[in-house]
Parts: sequence; structure tokens; C-alpha cells
Amino acid sequence: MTDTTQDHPAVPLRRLSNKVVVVTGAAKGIGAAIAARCAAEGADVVLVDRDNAVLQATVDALNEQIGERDSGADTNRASMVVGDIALESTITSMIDAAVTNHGRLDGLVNNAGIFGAYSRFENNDLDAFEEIVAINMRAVWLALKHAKPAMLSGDGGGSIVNIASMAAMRANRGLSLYGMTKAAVANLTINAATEYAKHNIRVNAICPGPIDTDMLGSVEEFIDERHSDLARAKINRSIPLGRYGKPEEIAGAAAFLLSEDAGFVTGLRMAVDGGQSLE
Amino acid sequence: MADASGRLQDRVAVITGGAAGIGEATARMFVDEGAKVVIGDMNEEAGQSLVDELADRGLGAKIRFQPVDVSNESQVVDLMAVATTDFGGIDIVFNNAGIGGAIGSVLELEADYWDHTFEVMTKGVFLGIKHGGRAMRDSGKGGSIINTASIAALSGCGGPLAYSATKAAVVNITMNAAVELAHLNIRVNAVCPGIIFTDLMHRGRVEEAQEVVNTIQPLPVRGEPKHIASMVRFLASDESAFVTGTTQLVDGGYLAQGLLGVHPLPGVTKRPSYSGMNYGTTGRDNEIRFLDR
Repeated sequence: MTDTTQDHPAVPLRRLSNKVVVVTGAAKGIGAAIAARCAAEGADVVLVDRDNAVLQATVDALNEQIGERDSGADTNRASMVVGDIALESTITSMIDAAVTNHGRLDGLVNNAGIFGAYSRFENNDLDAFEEIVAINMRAVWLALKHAKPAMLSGDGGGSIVNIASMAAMRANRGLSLYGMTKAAVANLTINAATEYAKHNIRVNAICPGPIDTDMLGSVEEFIDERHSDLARAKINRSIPLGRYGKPEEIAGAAAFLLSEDAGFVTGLRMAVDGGQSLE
Repeated sequence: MADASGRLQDRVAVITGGAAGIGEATARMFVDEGAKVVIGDMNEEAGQSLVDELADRGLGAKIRFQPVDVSNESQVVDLMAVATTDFGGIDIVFNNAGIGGAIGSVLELEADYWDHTFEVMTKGVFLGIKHGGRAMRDSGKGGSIINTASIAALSGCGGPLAYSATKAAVVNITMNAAVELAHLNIRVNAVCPGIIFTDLMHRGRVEEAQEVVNTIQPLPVRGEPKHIASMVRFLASDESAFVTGTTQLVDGGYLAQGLLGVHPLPGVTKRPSYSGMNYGTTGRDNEIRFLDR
């Protein structure tokens, strides 16, 4: 099998020039890849994460890349907000940062999320429930709410991408609370899509399958504590395309949905899962 | 095209129903992106005029037209042969050809019209996957197959009954073919257009259709063939390398809405007072009789 995938197209696309995009959970993994892709396509980006040190390094690297690519360009096109997405103040701060530091808000990617505790129903306590609901679900609802006036204060219109999961549609042993919150995100997506449509704010979700990130590595360890490589092989066999997805592949889908290429797309839950959900 | 970037540089695409509407918009976009395109269509006049126009712009080396009835296996084989012979292989197949098909009350539908609808809309997709997929297998490079389904596939008021049933079949063909062909790195996806302003949809009554759309579609954007074409471009390109077996809605939010937003589409009536056959933009005349009520 020939792997013809590329992380970026041959000629860089510039579909997000003069746009401002906020990405949550952007210090690493899928969020960092989305932020990098948006910047590569010409956007100003606000990266949000609770991990100060890693976020700072990601933002610095991103500004360096922007400076190299667009020589002479403003090298502060990426900025950061450090905070816990479970707090409403983090969400208002990130929206304010887009408008105050970059002049507007065109795009929002609600990506921050956790798997939570891996445990069966009877072992999940109320604290675990409340933590995962606050991060994976309540934060998305709050961000949808606070983004709207900011998007309308500019030229109007906008595009919001929620990172849900194929776990929204399927059961995954030990991840019931994760699946529950992601199903909620999938539903918030279609409700917001319907309600915000008249303002030309499009709202879509991406439902990733297994993506090669540190976060998924922790699931491998859960599946088989001593042999995470065996767990990985097992997951690979469950994916028709026979491999994990790359964070850059979620970023490509997000850039498509944020751009005018998807100008008639709203309320879509886009599976990016290598066909895993088909089996 | 301003946003063209060579995303499909030197890829070879076969597009059925490529002479008009969504297929034509996709063919134009693909050529602008650097692809070589074979368009197949029943409508020879429209197909030839598109090829002539692109040739006048100096793009003649990148476009071919081949008359095809997608329900005829030997003609589909001939269509694919144009791509392999003239362009050296096939990377992308867009199974887009379709007709309105059998229309009217289910109590009055002619079985022959039903059969013809399924011949074009489901057998046509199957044959496109079979023979396009063989070329992709033989090249060893894999490829991307995109099938045009419809919001009609996913609802009970999105189109005529027979048309909707064929589109539901296309959604399932997509899933099963994706699973089977994944090991060859052949991806198979479907796109579900919502209300797109093509001749097949508004039949010349644009303003009337627009008024209906204004009341039933959440997003205040007129769905155009280019909107579907850009989703097809995403699915055809390496940008979607981890996407297979999916059905992508491009419908301005039409299917996202629930109880408070259910209305039939323009031209769709819950209790049809007619029966007949809609041949779409093939050039063949429609056959419709009105029922006594």
C-alpha cells in the first residue's frame, strides 16, 4: 500500500487570510495541529490551554514559523490565553483576546477535552462526572454562547468547529462519560447550527476516530497496561484504512470547515475515522 | 479561480453526469486545480460544448468527453478506458450521474420507471466503483471515489420516493465499498447535497424555488453547484486521507433541524397527484400523467 498522504498541499492554501481563529486545547496534539494549520492558511490565532509552559513553547514555535514563511510579516499573529476551560472566565478571556489583540473573531475551534477516568459505571464518582462535563461539554456550550456576539460585532458571520468524537455514536468500555459528553457536543452542534444560521454563523463538528496523540496513548495503556503496543495493533486492526489518523488530518478537515470552501455546510458531523465506525 | 492551489495536480478524475449542474461545476474546479478530467454524460451536446469551451481556454489537453449511459456496463468500461488510455490511469471517480427518476404516487408508480431509476442511480454507482476501482487497484496507488447521494436518502420528504430509495442505497454502497477497498488505499465517500440550484432542482422556476428555500433552509445562502464541488474536492484530495465510508451533508443545515423546521422540499408533495418519469438533464423528454382525484 502506498501512503500518498501529505500533511500540507503542494501549494499552501490561504483560505483564512485576515481571519481570526480561537483554538482551545491548543498546546499539543490535535489542537496544536489545528492552530498551526490555521496560521499556515493566513489566520491570526489565539491558542488556549491550561498548560502554561507547553502552550508558551507552542506559540513561540508558531510565531517563528509564521515569521519564516511570511518574511517580514507580523510575528505576533499567534497569541495565547492560559486558563482552565472549565472556568467561564477563561472562555470570556479568550473571546476578548481575539477581539482586543487581533481585532475580530471569525473562527472558533472547541477542541479542549479529556478522556477522564477509565472506569466502569459503578466506579465513576460524582467528581469524575462533574469534571468531564465541565471540560468536554459545558465549556463548548459556554464558548458557543460567548462567541456569537463577538462574531456579529465584526462583518457578521463566522464558523465554529466542535471536536466531538466517534465515541459520540458508539460504546467504548470504560469511557462512558467521555462518550456521553461527546454525544452532547454532537447535539449542541446541530442546535447551534440551526439557531445561528440566520446570522451566517456555521457550526459543524468533526468526529475523529483514533488519532495518534499522547491522549490516545493513555487509552492504549488502559486497554493493556503492560503491552500498549499490542493495544495499538488491536486498534489498528479495527480501522479499515489500517492506521491511526494524524493530528494534521483533523486540522485539514477543520481548515476546510472554517473556510468558505464549506460555505453551504452547517450542522454536519464529519467523521474522520479511517472507516472505523463502519465495522 | 482565486483559491486554486494545485491540490489535484496531475490527478486523473472521471466525472459522470459531468456536462451540467454539480458535475460540470466539479469538472471545472478540478481542471482549475490541475487535474485531468474525463467527463461522461448522456447529454452529448452539453458535454461537447464544455470540452470545446475549455479547449478554447487552452485547457484541451486536460479534458475529455465520452458519451455514457452509466447503467450500461460496456459503456462504463469504455468511459474508464478513455482515462487510462489518454491520461495513464484513474485517481478519482465522481459517480454523480443521476435523474429525477420515477415520480408520483407510490400507488401508481410504473414498475418499468422504477427499474430504470435504479438502473441509472444505483447500478450506475456500482459500475463506476467496479471499473474505476479496478483501475485504482491496478495502478497500485489507490484513489478516491465519491458518490452523489442526497438529503433525500436520509429523510421521508426530501425527494420522490424512488429517487430517495436509490440515494439511500448509494449511502450503503459507499459504506460497504469503503470497508472492502480500504486495504487498496481506495477511499469511498458520499456527498449529500441539500437544495442546490440546478436545472434538475428548480426546472426553470428559480424565484419560486428561492421563496420556498427561504422558509425551510436555516442558512441564508443559496446552495450552488460550487458548494458541492468544493466538498468533492476535499474528498478527492489528500486532505481527506483518513476519511472513508462517510456521508457528508452539504445542505445549509436543512437536516439539522427537527420538529420546528420540517417542511417538504420545493416540488415535493406528500400526496402526489401525478405519476411518471423525470429524465433530468439527459436531454430526454419527461413522461408525466395526471391522476384523477
